[in-house]
Amino acid sequence: MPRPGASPVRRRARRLARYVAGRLTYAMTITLGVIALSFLLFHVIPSDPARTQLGAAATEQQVASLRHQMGLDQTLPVQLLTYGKRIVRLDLGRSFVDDRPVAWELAGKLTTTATVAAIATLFIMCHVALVCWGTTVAGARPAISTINFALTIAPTMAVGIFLALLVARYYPFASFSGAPSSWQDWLFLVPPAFVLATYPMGILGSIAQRQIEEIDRAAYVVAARARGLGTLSVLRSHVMPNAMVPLLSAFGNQLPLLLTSAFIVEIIYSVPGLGMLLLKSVLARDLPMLEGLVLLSAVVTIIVTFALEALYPILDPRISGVWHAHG
Amino acid sequence: MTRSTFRMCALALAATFALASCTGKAPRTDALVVGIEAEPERLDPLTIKNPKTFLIAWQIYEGLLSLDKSGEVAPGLADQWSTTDNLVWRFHIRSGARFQDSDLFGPDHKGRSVTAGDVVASYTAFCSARAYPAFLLTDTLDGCAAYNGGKATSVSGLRAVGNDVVEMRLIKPERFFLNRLTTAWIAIFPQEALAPANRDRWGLGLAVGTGPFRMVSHSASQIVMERNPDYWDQTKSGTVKQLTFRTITNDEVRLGELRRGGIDMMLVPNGLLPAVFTKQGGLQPELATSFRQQSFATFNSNMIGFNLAKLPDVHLRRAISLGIDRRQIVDQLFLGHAEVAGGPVPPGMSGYHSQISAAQLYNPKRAAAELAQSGYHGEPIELLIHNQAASEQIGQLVQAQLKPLGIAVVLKKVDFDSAIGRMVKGDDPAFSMFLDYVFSSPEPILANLFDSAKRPAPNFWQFSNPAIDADLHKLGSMDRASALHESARIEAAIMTQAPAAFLFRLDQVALYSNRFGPVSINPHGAFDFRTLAAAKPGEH
Repeated sequence: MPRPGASPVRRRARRLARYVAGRLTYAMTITLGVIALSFLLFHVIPSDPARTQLGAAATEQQVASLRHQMGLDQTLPVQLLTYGKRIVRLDLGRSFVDDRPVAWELAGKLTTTATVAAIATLFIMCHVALVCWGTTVAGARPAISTINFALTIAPTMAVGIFLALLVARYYPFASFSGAPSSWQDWLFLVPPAFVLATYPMGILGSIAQRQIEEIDRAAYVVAARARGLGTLSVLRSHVMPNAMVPLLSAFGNQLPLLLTSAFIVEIIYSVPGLGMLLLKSVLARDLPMLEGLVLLSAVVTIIVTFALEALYPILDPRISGVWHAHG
Repeated sequence: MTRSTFRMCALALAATFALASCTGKAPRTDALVVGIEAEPERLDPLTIKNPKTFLIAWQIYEGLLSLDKSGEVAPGLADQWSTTDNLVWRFHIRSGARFQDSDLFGPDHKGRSVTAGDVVASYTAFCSARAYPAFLLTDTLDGCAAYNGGKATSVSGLRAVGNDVVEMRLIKPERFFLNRLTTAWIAIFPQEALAPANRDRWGLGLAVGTGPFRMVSHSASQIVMERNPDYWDQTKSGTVKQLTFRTITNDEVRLGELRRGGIDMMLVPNGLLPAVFTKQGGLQPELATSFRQQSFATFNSNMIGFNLAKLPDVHLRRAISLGIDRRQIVDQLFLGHAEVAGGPVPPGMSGYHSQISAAQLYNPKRAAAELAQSGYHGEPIELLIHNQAASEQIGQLVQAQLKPLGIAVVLKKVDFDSAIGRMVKGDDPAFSMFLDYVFSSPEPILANLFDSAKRPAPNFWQFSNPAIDADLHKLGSMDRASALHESARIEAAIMTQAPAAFLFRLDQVALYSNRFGPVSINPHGAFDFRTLAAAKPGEH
């Protein structure tokens, strides 16, 4: 109930603050759950990181010494407590494999993967824009459906390898400095980004097409056309605003996939990003790095979801109304 | 976008591609780009575990000793060494050996001479718990095991004598001690590297040794080096001034890059052998015009190992070993780029003559006879395979070869590190595995793999024989000729018990531009890029 005498602006600010606090609490709870669950999962899996680090030639005494140094000879609750204390201090620890600070390593790899994901997002946006425009063009719908279907069913691995072979033969930007620091590096990342974008392009293209077709038949769109508005004007003013929210929601679901499926393209194209790090860390039982990766993925997903949820009411005032009603 | 703007954009893009395609294709012999299959490990000698990293690390770091091409111990950073009793060894650091220039040594970035203190600090670090190569020293260097276990603050057997002599005292006399040190796994690095301030940089942006090349830049995608002008050996020279290692993880893409000149050299993985070689063994015609190949033998061994506790029937183990056609495996999977071997000591180890005849390893009749004597009645035997070194394909061939004999093999695949863990725990009766040896002599190989004190690792087979133990302990105090002869006898005696069916020693194949002449490679797989030069006329 609004407090008597409070101005509408203050009331709205209070509602917004309550909403943000609620979402943050939710996000924190999810993050804590992810931290605990990933820690337990990694430590319950039957493996010995100390043996993995020292290899087949090390004796059991040497392995025991390293296990002690890594703290792996302590009980699980003690290890979880130590880990929790470190996380509170924002200390992700050091790699079991080669002692690198986990935070540094993640930051470096995230830059590369985020760049690939950003280029992939550009591809997706261009494709969706073309689909939206193409759907309004007479006779183009079957071709668009076919392209979207092909993009959806094409196996990323096969497309990746096929394109990589073409790239190795004809594409001149084949070397990468290790981080996206020059235009050659950016161009190097274009083919892997395209491969990463294929599946989301197909899915989002299909959703966009369906939305446009559906909205195109709505009475207000027919009326707008009857008033003599051009195709692009109808698309811009009447169709797209209504299609954006479901599209954005679908994009929100696909965005974490750009990070989690990155490992396929990163391996094929030798991109030193998070995906490659994940694979390496799993094989090497590098628990601190794995825990850091899971935490990072969770935080990125939560931030993206949070940002998209904040964007919905801006795009669709009806959602804002729901906030107000429940706020 | 108007049509003319579109045309302009298209032309600009085409010009960019054309220009970019032209760069770096001039036939240079002062720069070499090597394509590598994985992001390089941190170049910290303490944590390097993949032998392939040494292709890179050996250009920066050196050990006290080395191996020449024939596999004999050669001077490295130590130009002289001495012992009177094989128990206390003294190594003299060569004068003129300097660490490469680096900001590690202060604002003037000038490298400094190697001291005995650096050697003691390096060897002490190699005895620490997190050092991968600790296994090379803990059972031989006095005090190393105690330091490794956290029971001592220094290694009692290590001592600097003056500025350029290091003394090492062993636990017991060991004539072949030098053969432990020929690998660059125990490289000498400056003591400053161990300072806490350098902990996050060392091996990444900073890697300093005494080797022929110094690191200029390091990233996950490439490592660039330049020739070290202060290298102690200026007697041999090559043309390569800049050396680049570029990561290209996909094998086909790496080969594609080699073909179009993006890289100059790569090691050929097993999966690419059919794409590189014809059935007659030569290079494919489209490669033969621009590239040369060089096969080289390193110290390694591939085997089907048995866990004696789970497969105690010696007749069954012998039947399996005799029923495996190693030649078929070598020809079919590696196009002949491997040498059949029936024992753990790889063929080609200097001065060693195995008593095990490769020609008699495959004998289906004897296999059937051994099987008849065994208590085996067709129960499936689980064979552990993994994701490296063609383990799965080897397993499939072994499975197919043993089936006609009536031996049922079931394959069980896990990743490589899980396979190691399972081997150590003794979870499976049989496992397909490979070993890269860091020792350059048979005695430590046999002692490491078959001494009962080394159970459960690296004596994975849980082999235990007091007589063999006693014989192995005597090897350290014998003269070299006797020790080699006795090692061959011990190897043959061990193999009568068939703790494993040793299969072959795999060759490495380097494929590189024929602008360059032959590259010198020692049996540890160390490439001497310092002496690599432009090909002479007629050498193509």
